[in-house]
Amino acid sequence: MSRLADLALACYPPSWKERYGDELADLAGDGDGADLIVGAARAWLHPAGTRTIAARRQSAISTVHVSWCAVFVAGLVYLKAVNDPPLPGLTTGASQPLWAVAKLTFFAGWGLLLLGGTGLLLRIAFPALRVRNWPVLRPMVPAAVLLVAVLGGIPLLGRYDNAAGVTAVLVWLALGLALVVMGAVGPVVALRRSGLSVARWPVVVAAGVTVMAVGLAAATAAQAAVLTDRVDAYNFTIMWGSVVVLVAAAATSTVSVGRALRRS
Amino acid sequence: MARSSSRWADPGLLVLGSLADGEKHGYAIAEDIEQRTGRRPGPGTLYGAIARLEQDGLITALEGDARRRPYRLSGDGARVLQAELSGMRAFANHGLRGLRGRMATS
Repeated sequence: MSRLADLALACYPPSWKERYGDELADLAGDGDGADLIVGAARAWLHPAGTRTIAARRQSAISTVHVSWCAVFVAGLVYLKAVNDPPLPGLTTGASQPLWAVAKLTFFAGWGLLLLGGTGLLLRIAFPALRVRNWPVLRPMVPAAVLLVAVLGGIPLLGRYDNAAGVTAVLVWLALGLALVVMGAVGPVVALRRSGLSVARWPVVVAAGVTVMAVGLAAATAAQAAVLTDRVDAYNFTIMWGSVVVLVAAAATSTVSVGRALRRS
Repeated sequence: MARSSSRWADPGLLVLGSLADGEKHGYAIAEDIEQRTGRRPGPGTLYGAIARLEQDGLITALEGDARRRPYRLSGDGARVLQAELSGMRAFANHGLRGLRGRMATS
């Protein structure tokens, strides 16, 4: 199997992999990477093998977490496109209330995610630490190491000039991106391996994060429409590309949480 | 055989049709669809359809090797397939009648 097909298989939702992963791996060949990537995207939108409420809740928590990580990266990319340097009229006129909504939803989403996520993480990590359940703890180690490296790197960023400074910033950005990726994947794998039964409350918190993601996506899409004639072709692509990611992530979260909140 | 056209594009219907004559695992379903339509569904497409059909109760997974689990058409699946194929047959008959009339007058 090609590396692309391997990667695509790894991108399927955990519950889906658990149910169909072996069969899919048996059938997948070298030229199936693109088909598997599309299949993985569809599987996130239509999580099969999750008929029980418990499985749907776990799937929704995982989906919202991964989606919010995508929202975070897309939000930063959008910010870079419109605010570095600031576009004329970014914080005035029709753009001003949208800017305020985008900021509010971004920070509120992070607040809710930390509130719900920390509780779940502690419920997974503490029991696993007590009985030294390494298969559960191991997926979270890369994110923890990267977090220390990224935080530790902040004071070093301003110390160097010229080429060394540019290299330091690039390395730090690469570590930051790796942190987002591992921070997205690690807790999801740990949650699945822990077999933790997710109560209704974390799903309600995830629904709150989803509402914030929808608000952020709507505000940035509307603002991008207002600002669209003020950006050059390069920033136009970056701005609308990040809006597409934001909308897709918000839609994916909404579908998944909607299924999890259904009673039957 | 001619290459498949868009009417054969629904993987779910193709899977149901393939299971009409008995239980099969994923690989056998893919082979069967390729033989009948000239186009082999990719594994992502095939298992996306299998997952949806199983969730809707139209097919049932049987006990077997985890890597080659066989599937069987359920009662509901058979009814859905019957209705879909009857609709397609009625549409095909209508189109063929029209074509015959057109050829007769030209």
